[in-house]
Amino acid sequence: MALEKSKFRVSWGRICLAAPFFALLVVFWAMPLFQGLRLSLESDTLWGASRFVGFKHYLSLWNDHRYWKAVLNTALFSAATVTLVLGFALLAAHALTLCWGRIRGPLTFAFMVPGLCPPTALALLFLLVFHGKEGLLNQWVIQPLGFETINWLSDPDYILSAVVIQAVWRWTGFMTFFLLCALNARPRDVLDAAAIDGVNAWQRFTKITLPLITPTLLFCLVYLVVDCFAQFAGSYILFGGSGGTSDAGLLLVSYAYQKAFVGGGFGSGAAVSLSIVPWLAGMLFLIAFVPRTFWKGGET
Amino acid sequence: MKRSGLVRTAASLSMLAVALVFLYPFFWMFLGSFKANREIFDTSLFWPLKWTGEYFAILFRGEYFSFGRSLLNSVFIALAQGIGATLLATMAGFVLGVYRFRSRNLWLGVGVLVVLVPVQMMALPLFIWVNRIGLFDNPVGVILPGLVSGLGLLFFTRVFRQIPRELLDVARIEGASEGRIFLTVLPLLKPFLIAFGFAHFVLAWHAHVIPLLILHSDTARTLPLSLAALFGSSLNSPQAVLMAGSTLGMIPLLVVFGLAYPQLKSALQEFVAS
Repeated sequence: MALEKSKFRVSWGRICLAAPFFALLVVFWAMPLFQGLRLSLESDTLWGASRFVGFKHYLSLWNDHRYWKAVLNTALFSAATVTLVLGFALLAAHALTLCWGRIRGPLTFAFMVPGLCPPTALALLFLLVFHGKEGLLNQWVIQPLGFETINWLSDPDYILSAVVIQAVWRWTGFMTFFLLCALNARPRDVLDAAAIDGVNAWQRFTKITLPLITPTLLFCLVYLVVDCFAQFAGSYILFGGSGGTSDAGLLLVSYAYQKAFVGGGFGSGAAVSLSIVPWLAGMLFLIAFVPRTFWKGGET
Repeated sequence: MKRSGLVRTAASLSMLAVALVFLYPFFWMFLGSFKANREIFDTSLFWPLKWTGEYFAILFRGEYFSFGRSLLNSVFIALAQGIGATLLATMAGFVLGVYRFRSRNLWLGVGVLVVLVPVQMMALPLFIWVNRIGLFDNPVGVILPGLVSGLGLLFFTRVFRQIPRELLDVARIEGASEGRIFLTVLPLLKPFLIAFGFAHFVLAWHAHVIPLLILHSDTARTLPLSLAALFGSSLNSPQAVLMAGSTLGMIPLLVVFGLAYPQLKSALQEFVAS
């Protein structure tokens, strides 16, 4: 609800309140973006004067198979992570609503702890879980099921799965928490009435619950997609900024880092970063802002 | 709805089991801070062979990096970002959520753009820019970019929209200025402030790319950076020091999380229900 339509009157109070945010936005968001755009059109000179080279960096990316590998990896990683995390979180949130009331809080808390875990600790836990022979995953899951042990961190077929499993472990708890709050906010009487009228559990879920929690699901989706695309710490610590065996774990942010700091080409590094912007922005726009109900909130 | 006891028990027990799986690595990490390298890499070993405080002592003596200094840097940077970002986003969100004016949708659109193009994607140009304006190796150079949260702007715009209109009308009739109204309304939003502030604090604490590029000297590094450097240095250095540092480094987060949790919950439920 808005108060009034101001009639061309400049309100200094409002400007002062809103100005700091937008001023910083210009200095630390718009300026770097602009600088990055300029940089990506210039030659890879480190400190001296650089030449304008137009779209050369973008064109060479087009023919760069490592770049496409990174794009594919990032897309696969994001898709797998988002699907698994949201699926598990939805299940877990439902299970939590069924739990004994007294342990519900502590359990939710426990699930969220991995989300607080620093990336370095993540790298250590990787050793524990994914270690070639003695890792937990091999010892407790793979071997008992009768499979050959998998060298998760150096077998190119499995590196990406290891990164996905880590992301799932890390984010499921937070998303469960968000979804649990959404489930708790459902109107009880509607659900009860539906149950009494003989609507089965599946229909209650798809027809009542799902529409009610869609905004929260969208929020989780945006949060996860952004985090997946910006994922760096995990793979940086594991592979030291490289992509692991035959680039199987190469993600876009680490590729940009590599181009700029290992290859010494700031221009091409900036081009890698910026080449993802339209994709990410377009995707997020489709997911989150086309169903306007979320942000419009009170007005709809 | 009535649930049968059997369903409740089954759900509770299975969730307890899952929680154990989720937490197991942390027990291992904690116990790892007492183990020699040989024991750590032998993952079948759960308990340390010998309980020794030696590795914690090494950590505190600063043999590899100054733990206290890194922790302090992390706390300072994350707190400044959490509090600062919340403040800026509430101020701007107040203006966009409460008042209606011509360019309002334009400013909201800018907020959406910031969500769509996260600053981590621009880490490299940001680094060069921060370098140029002379904030290289300066915590301020990490904090300032972290104060702009597009998600925060959209979140608080929506939160302020839910403030009862009558309240604002009364304040206006009393002749209160915008700043005055803002300060009056702010305490009502405590759960939302804490929820957002906490989320931002956690993001800032974990931030890796931007601090890695901007903070160069050992004394300026944050804890995650110092730990990562130690991890990368050599596998011969005692990994237990790393485990001890990681374990202790989680304590501030757990404390803040424990304090914020009840507020977090009520804020989210209100936000979701609205």
